[in-house]
Amino acid sequence: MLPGFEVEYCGLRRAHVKKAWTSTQGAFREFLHWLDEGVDSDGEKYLELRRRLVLYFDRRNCLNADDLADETLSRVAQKLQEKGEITDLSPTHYCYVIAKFVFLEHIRRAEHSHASLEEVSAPGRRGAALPAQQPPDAASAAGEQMLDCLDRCLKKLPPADGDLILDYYQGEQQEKIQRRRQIAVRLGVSANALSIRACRIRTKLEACVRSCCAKD
Amino acid sequence: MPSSDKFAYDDELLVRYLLGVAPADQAERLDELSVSDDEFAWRLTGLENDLVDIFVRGELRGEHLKQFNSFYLSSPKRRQKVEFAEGLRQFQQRAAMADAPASVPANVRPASPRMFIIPRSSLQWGFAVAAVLLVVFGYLIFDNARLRREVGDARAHDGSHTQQLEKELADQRARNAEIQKELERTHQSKPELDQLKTVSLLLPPPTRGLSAIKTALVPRGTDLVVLVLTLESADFPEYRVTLKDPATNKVVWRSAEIEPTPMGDRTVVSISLRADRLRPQDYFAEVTGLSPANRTEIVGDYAFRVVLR
Repeated sequence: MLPGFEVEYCGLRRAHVKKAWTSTQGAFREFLHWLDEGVDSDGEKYLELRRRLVLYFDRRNCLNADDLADETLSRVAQKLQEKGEITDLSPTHYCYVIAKFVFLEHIRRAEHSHASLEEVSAPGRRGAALPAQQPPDAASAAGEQMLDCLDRCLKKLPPADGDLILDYYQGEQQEKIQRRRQIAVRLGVSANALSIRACRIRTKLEACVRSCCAKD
Repeated sequence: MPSSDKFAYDDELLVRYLLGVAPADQAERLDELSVSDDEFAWRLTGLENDLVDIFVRGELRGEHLKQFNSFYLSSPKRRQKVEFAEGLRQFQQRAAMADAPASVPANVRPASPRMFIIPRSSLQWGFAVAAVLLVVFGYLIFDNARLRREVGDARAHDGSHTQQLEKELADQRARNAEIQKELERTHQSKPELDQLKTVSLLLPPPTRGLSAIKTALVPRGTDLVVLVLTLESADFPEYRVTLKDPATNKVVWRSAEIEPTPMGDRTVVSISLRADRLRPQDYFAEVTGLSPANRTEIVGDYAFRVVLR
């Protein structure tokens, strides 16, 4: 069995394929192709699915949401390689089914190892304790770093996207609603399409800022 | 369950789901849609972004706020989302403040971008009252001289007119005496005010654009910090100012109802708070307009930084 490797394919820089099963580049390409459902997304579908899985595990207060998302994707890719094709469910639906199993196994493992239940609480249950408050100086420095990273990451976006994100999330209540209507009219798109576009940009920006803050 | 049922979920239920309090059976279905349905996943992400933004703006109330604090903030990843939202809010705020200098008239703009310190001075209103009294007193002295001249001229003419002018002069002296007493009282109260070490910071109205955050340099031993918040427009008879810590969105201090006052051709709201309430960090003063019909509206967030020396 090959050791886990970091996949560099179609713009994916950090797709972790690891644990009990490891893929070849060819198998991983097949997996991406299956996720794309015939429309080449240049790895975007994979990244978006992984993001959703991380959120799913995080909403269940799993502290290792990233690992569990990778575990899910790894198992799906393995199943696909074993079966050759999966046709009974859509790729995303199939991934959700596997994610549920991964979550249940995670709970069982945690119970067996007498891990703190705070780590694996179901929705509605209280999760991990709130963090200790940072001393004012540290909080201020972190805030400055965040602003610096935001500035840098906004500059990396296409100018229209940068303007849109600042404009879309500006204002309060009625003013915000009105502003969004005006932007939608200006861009000639529906409110729903605009919302999705703004969400995509914000997701990208958040990821960039997170990475920037971690580096600094 | 058909995929079309995703349209059956209203925003309120989705917010409850995000806050970990949706009924279990519905949460299960929402879990599934959040992974498997593109449109639903983006709708949920959009709602989550707005929810976090509302929290960092301090607009989340009641049960939602409780759940946010107890459930949402319990995850490091979700806290990162909150930190990002706070950063984005501050970034927008700074961008807004950058335009401020152009919109503030010269007589309102501070001489220095940094704060001005008035050691051992009286409070601003003490100055204002004294200044007004001095102007009135000066006018009355000038007017006395005019009356004396007129009395002298009139003596040469008719006696009744002279009496009238003398009466006017007597009244004027009586008014002078009252003003003099008032001025003395103001002077007597000045030593108390003088004992307070005060630091003042003038903040322009928040507008769009990028600029450096205003800094309040607070020397050791300062008693009071006075914030003069310039309003974009004076649409309300009264305002309330809430001082918040941007890192936690916690309320540090809240004013009573304050009436706006004119300053040059602008209107300002002034607050003074004990300096020992402030730490060396960023703050923002949220100004809320209060209408007689109990309508409230946040009219602006004024960011500033406190540096202790």
